Amino acid sequence: MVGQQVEVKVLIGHPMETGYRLGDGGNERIPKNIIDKVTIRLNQEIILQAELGTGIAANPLFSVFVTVPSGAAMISVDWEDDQGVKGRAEKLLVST
Amino acid sequence: MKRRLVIIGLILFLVSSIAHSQRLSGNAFLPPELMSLGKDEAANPLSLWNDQGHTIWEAKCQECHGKMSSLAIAVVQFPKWISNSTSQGRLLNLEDQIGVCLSRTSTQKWSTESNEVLALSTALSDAAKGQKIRIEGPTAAIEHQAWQEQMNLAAKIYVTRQGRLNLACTQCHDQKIGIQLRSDVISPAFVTGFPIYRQSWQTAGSIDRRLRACYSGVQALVPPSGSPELRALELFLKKRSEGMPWDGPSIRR
Amino acid sequence: MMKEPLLKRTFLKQMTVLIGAMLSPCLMAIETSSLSEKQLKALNLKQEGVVLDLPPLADTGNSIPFSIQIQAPRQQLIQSFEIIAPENPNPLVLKVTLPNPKSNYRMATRIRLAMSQNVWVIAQLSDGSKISGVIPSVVTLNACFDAT
Repeated sequence: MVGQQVEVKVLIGHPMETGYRLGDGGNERIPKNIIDKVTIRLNQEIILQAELGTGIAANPLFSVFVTVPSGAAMISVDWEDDQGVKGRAEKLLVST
Repeated sequence: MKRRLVIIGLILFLVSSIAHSQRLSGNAFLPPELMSLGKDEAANPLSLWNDQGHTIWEAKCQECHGKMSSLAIAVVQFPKWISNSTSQGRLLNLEDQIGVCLSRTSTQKWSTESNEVLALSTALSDAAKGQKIRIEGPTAAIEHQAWQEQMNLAAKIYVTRQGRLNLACTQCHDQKIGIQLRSDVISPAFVTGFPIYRQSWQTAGSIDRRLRACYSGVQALVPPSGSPELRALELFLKKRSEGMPWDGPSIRR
Repeated sequence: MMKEPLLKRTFLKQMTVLIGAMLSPCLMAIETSSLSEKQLKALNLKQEGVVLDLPPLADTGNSIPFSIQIQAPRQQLIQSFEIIAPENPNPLVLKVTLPNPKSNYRMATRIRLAMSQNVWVIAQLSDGSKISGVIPSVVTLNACFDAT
């Protein structure tokens, strides 16, 4: 319904390697590899613009709240990690 | 005399069915937040593997196997005995079998913990939710004997003390059920819900990995992934869980 | 005569206002994310408008659900906020910027805590001031060593 507040959950598959964990045999540290930036948009409006640290759990989950607009509503997620790997996902918000 | 035997038989049947109905899945030992996380598809990290599994299935497996649900019954019958031409056989679990299937179309080496293997295993496990675990050995006599030997080997491991902590599986998992070990609560170790997303691993993992972690837990030498004793233990544990409904992929601490 | 004390008073007042204005940018410039628990407490931030939810006892340090609700005081807007876990090796857990500042904001995520500690959320408002909230959690771990 237009004007209603809905919860949007975004789950991103990423190991969020802190750089502190020891690898096989306990001899080497597994190199750091975390998602740096996440942007969640509703159409063109930014709902969440975040810089992540190692303190965000693996396979990050973000739960945000959006107000259902009239007309088309596309939720899009853009993320980038510290190795330069980028990801994007989109989902149409279908209001009944 | 006959009547007495019938009564004894009935009592035994009742006792065993009560005992069976009291077998608790590992899910019963989770705190409420993790239980609800397991049910929340949007927040459950296993959904990532599940989705990926469905994607891979549609691309690679559907052609031969059709719908995933058609294999649901097979999921709860692993590990299976496969024998090669020299009548030496081995046990194959679900992740091994997925690796074998994937090898048919790719030269990549697949382990039980490969992302694609776990993805397919998670999706298949999810499709098999509710199926009753059924463990049957091979029909041919010689093969059945070899299969039984593996079962007996595992039963022996289960009751043998090992590791620096000098503990046997049965001491915790039969005798100390419900006892808290820091944040863990000891479960009876019925294997109804694999693969698992273990928060301490921060990723999904197979029963092979979990059993290796058990060895590590009692500070015993950890068998390499795929070792026969791990498959034998899985066979024994699944037999012990026979008749219990499959939970599907589960969250663990 | 009569005019001089008035001028002096006004002059002092103006000086106070000026000094005050100079102090607040200094406060904003302090890296809140690198502060220890003690230093965060010493900042004497306003503890209002920030409602946090964190389990008091977490059974793993790896993934702890954390939810935040910020309500800016009247006529203020939230520009950004930070989640800080002072005992973590990298205390700045998350920094959220709102390009369109809002009067209230809600979100939830899962954080990692290296050990039991207080978790702080410090929000920057449109007038340059900050509001904050803090919540403790005791972190427990798995008992068995896992070499896998």
